Amino acid sequence: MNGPKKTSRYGHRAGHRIFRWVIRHLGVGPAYAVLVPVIGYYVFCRPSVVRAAAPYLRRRFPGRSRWGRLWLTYRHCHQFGLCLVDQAASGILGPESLRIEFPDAEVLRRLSGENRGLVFITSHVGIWQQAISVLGFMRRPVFLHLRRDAASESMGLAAFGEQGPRIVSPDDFLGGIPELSSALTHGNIVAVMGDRGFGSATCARVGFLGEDAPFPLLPYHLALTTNSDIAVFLTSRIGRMRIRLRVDVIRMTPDWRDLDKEEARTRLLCRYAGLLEDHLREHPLMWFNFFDFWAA
Amino acid sequence: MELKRQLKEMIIAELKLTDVTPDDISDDGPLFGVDSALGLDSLDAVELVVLLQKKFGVEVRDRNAATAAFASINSLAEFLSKKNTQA
Repeated sequence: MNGPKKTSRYGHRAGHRIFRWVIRHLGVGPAYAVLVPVIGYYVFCRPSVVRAAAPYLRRRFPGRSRWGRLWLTYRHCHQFGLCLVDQAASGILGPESLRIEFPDAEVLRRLSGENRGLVFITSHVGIWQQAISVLGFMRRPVFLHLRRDAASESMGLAAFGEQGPRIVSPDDFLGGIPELSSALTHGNIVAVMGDRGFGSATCARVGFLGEDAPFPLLPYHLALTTNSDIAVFLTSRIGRMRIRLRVDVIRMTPDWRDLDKEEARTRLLCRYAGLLEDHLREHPLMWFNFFDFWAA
Repeated sequence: MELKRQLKEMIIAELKLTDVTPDDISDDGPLFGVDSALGLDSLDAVELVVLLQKKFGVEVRDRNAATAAFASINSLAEFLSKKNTQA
């Protein structure tokens, strides 16, 4: 599956350093202020940014005029920038600086007491990297399916203690999947992305915002084959250094296992796509997959 | 039954491969990827890990083990033999 082109071209190193300096010495508020002209520059002077945001915005907000969509692009990128500032600030100022509302925490606590695997599906929604930090409190080994260079202090990995989570890279042999499978059979937690496949990930197309889109099948295949539960995690930024987490659990009951595996996989995937779509209806500017997800 | 033959039959049966017989699978050819006669993908690796655990009590815990075990039928047989000797 083709993913987005490298986004690092947006915002060079000096830009990152300036933001980090502002956060460290002046605080988060001034960093938000710096963000306004920076986002303006990217949206109004870099057509590639508008093109990258367009596939999602066109489907989520159909029928908007060109100028209406340009304004939406600005707001979308601004939300992304706010999330990045908050994420960077939590790395610089400490994880306690970010207030996390997690009404479903008890659900995860209950799951952590069970000795069975858990496939934790994250998405490019809100400050999703911070959502991963709550797994640090589950007292079970956690395996993150993530490129090693993508793991950073701002991901809240400190919550995992000295040992930290185990990073399994999709660039490893067979995408690191043997290691993830083994982890689940031992009752561990595996966190994977639900809305973007790495490399040559096997995908299936299901309806999403009115058109079929390719989603990776790995999370559902892992859960079905290793008899693990699924937790779909979605986040939203609800204010200055404030995020809310939501979790929906799909228990791997015999009903799922009795189905033909391909059908079960597709149904589970449809359930996930539906949850993501519902979340985006509530938080429409919080999805940060800046590429043509439908055409990938 | 010879271990390699047993592995081939297991892979065909459990991964529901059609139009493939054990004789079609070479001992040293790749199991996964486009160069493989079997055309297994990474999702099949999930099945194989669980199968090896269930049928042989052998675990493929990390990337080194996966690289050693899943290159070919030869390497898989060697991996299982080593693990059984260690047990």
